[in-house]
Amino acid sequence: MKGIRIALAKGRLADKAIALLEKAGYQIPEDIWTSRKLIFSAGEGQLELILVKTSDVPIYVEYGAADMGIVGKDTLLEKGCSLYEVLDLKFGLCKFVLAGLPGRDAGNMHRRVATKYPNFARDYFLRKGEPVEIVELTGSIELAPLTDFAECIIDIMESGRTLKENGLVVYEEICFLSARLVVNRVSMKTKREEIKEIIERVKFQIERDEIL
Amino acid sequence: MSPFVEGVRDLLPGEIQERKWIYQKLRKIFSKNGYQEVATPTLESLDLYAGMKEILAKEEMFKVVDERGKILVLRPDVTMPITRLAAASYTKIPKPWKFSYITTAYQFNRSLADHMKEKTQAGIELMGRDDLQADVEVIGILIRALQKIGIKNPQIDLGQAALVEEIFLNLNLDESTKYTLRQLMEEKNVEEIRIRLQDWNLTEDEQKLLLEFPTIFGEPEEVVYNLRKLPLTKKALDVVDRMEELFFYFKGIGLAEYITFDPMMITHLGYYTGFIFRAYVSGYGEVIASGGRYDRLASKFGLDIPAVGFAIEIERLMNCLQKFHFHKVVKKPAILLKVKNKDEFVRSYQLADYLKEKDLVVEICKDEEFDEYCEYHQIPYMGEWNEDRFILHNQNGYKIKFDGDLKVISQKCLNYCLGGQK
Repeated sequence: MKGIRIALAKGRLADKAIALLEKAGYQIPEDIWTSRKLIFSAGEGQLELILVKTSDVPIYVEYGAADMGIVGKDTLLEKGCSLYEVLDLKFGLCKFVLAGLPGRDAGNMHRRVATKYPNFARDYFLRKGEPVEIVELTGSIELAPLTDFAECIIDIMESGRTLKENGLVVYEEICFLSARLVVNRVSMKTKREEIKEIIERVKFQIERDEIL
Repeated sequence: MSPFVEGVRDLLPGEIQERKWIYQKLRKIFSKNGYQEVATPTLESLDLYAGMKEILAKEEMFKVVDERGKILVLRPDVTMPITRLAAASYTKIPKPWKFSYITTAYQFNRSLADHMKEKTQAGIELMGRDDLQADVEVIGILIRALQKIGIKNPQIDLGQAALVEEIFLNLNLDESTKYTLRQLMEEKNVEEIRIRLQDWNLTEDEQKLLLEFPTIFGEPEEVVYNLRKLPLTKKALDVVDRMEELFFYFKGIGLAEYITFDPMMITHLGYYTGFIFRAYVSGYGEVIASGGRYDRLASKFGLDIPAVGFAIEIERLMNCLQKFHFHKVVKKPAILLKVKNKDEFVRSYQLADYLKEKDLVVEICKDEEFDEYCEYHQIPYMGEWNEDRFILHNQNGYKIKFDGDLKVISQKCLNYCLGGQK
């Protein structure tokens, strides 16, 4: 039996991921909710859970420092890592949207776009065939159109409340996002049985949740 | 100003020594199998890669301009130049042609895990054979080569470019949809395929095929069994038969335990036409070698010749070896001679000549630098003169005195050092 290391994106996503693993029958250490440790043994030693920054999850998995990872599709699209994406975990649901001030979408002016996802934004506008200037910000993206710093933003939207309260509207819903289970390309082959079991147990749990 | 370039690095003596050991083992196994080493220039014409965007996007190659304004590239791969070499110099030589190489390749890659711009690759190319036995030979050499270096249980994962091609050929989808689908299947992203399928006008059989195909991989006989249950065309089933036959050979020659199948394996190197493969080591997250069959590549040079080969990624291999402490480098016996004056230097120089003749590593060092130098480089034997007598020390402080002329002393020294090795 080879141990499997799973990288979890710290924060809300990790909480849900841990809850999912627990429901799938893996014993979870009590102190995972309170401790400041970053590595936890779970599932009677079958699993090792590591807590890393969201944007680092695909990197850990691509390099093989973790065999598997649970991370949002937004991060995967932004990072463009070479991984196997095996399951849609159906939580952390949100959308990538293009948004800005009302009535300013159309027009043939050159746009400046503020975003936390510069690579995704670049690819998106490249596909659209619109040359834009992309500015990478790290938080409170909604401020950019409000301060006339940028014409529009590309960001993730859950309920739309933040946009609404700041007087912004959605120009386009680009795609749906959710948490995904990803697997390192080599581990998928060299630890096949162990990984297959985890995928199946998690998949079974998600399907059961959906029915309920 | 920064004198450092990202993505390239210096090699220090310790690493060079390990590399030499690896290269020696690889050269030996390549040549034992009849593969002859060749080398191609670092600079190639951009034209060589023109119209070959499946090999490497132009923007991923290093370009330089020569004195006449012609655009050159730093060799971004090795197979292409060797194919050019074969087309230029081998057409009158009886086939098959067997080449080996150990060289560097240059490219910048967008992938995170592949940030080195200069990579060392060691590999072989077998040209002029299109049969399964040739594939078996090449994969067999890869397994043995990895084992010789200390990787006892390499895993060779095999895919079939022709099978994927055949499946996609028959789908009634436009090119960009096919491209997306291919990516999703390669990522084994069955959930996403399931969602997208609703928008595509495909038959039930085709849908079943697209959903199940990416999940079939692993133990070869099981893979073949499961593939046969899919709604495949006659041509695709023929490819499955070939996969089964290939595995039959591996069972016969005792290499079956190292082989797994992944029919959905595709590579960014689009020139592969048949079997493709990657080598893994359990516990190491990166691919350490890859290869496959590329029967159409030579047609670029007006040559119709099938070929198969592989390349080992030396830097990754070394990381992997280091991670598992796989091998030890055997040091040659070495002596450091201490000189305190002109006369001792002359005698030491002559003595050193005799000893070097016998393949010992011998260095001469000045008295004042001696101790530090000897300790840092961990030289096992130290020699010094006491009048006409030569005194040899070993690292444990044990001393032995030798008399006689230089030739006699050198012989005694040699016997002692080599005896001490055992």
